[in-house]
Amino acid sequence: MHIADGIVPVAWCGAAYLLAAPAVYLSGRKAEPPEIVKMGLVASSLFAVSLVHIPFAGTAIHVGLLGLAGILLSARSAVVVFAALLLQALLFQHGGLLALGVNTLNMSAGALAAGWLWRVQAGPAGFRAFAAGFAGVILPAIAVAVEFMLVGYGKGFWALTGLYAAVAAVEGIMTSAIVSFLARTKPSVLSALPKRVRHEGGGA
Amino acid sequence: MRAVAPAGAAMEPAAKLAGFVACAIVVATTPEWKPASLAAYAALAVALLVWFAAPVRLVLKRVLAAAPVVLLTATMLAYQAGGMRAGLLMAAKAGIVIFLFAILTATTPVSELLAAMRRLGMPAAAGSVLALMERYVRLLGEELGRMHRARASRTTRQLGAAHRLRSEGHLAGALLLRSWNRSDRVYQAMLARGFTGDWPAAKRTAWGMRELTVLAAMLAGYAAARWI
Repeated sequence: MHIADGIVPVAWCGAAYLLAAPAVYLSGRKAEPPEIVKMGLVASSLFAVSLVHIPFAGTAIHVGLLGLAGILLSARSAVVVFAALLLQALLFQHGGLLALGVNTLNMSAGALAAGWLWRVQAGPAGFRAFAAGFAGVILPAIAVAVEFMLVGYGKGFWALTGLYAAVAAVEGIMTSAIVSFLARTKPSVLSALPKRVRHEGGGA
Repeated sequence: MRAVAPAGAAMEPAAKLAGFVACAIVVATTPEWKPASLAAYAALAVALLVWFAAPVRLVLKRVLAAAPVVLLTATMLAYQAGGMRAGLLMAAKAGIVIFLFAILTATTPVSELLAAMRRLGMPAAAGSVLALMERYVRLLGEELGRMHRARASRTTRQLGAAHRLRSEGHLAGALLLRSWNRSDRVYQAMLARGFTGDWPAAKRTAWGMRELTVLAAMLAGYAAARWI
């Protein structure tokens, strides 16, 4: 759920930038070059997958993969979320430049919560992956509904969160399918970032 | 490539970005419904479109792509909270801001805008990730397309919805793994070419009289339009 430019008052956009800037900075702090290259390539493949429209139940859906970003990147996901949103704003005018701070906060909250849900180790892996994918969609949607209410746009967006719950369920299924594939083929990917990447391939 | 460079083509990207952001803020902070101001904003945006020789179809396509979100929000605002006039004002302001940014993004290469943002103080890690994404999103998207074709050529029957999602998940997982492994090779290749941790800056650019004049004209126009 991208908020377009000109919708949220500029003062709110400015305040969101002030909160998002340190979050993005802290999220990328002390990342070594090999880890950054990994983040860039993971971000690029998530972005590429999110552009594909999948025919589903009579319509075409596309996944956002914020939950998966949280699972793979953990605390580093805020940098990647910011980068992906900026690229979307520049390439397709999804979201926008004034609203970039607001969108970064909403979506990073989804990705970070997803990473946390994955790492708490409560319940089987398939369920945690589903929960992470679900949270990656529903939390940003709830954040938008709350923000619109606070800004004075009424409660209309709460009705949309019901719709987003259905989208979130599809996203949860997709996320658990991807995670089960990764768990079978190269499980180290699921817990490598942000800490262990330097022992693995880089540092040469 | 164009045969004749448009009048605004040579403008330094950071100055251009600053100018459009400043004009967008003037528009977005307009407090009340003033048709004369809104019409002047729109007319000035059209003038910028001509001055920067923006591709009209691309700009319109981008404005229309953002229209559903704007109209939905404006409708909710009109019927639930602020009334018809508030809804109209929001839709008009958002439309003009989006139009302005569409001119900016349609006339400036993404790489130049990103370089300008790096110079203006974007966090370094984000700048690096963006530099990599700019290069690899298309490449990996094409790879995903080839993987889809390969699967289609080996799949003879129609997949059910659940099966389809799972199959898409496996393809996405395979692409992720390939990118994960590729990143080590990419980093080694970067080292082999002399990478020292700094991204090479795009061509050094400076603000001259030209940038200052255009910036001042844009701002003066929008400020005047607001106080009409």
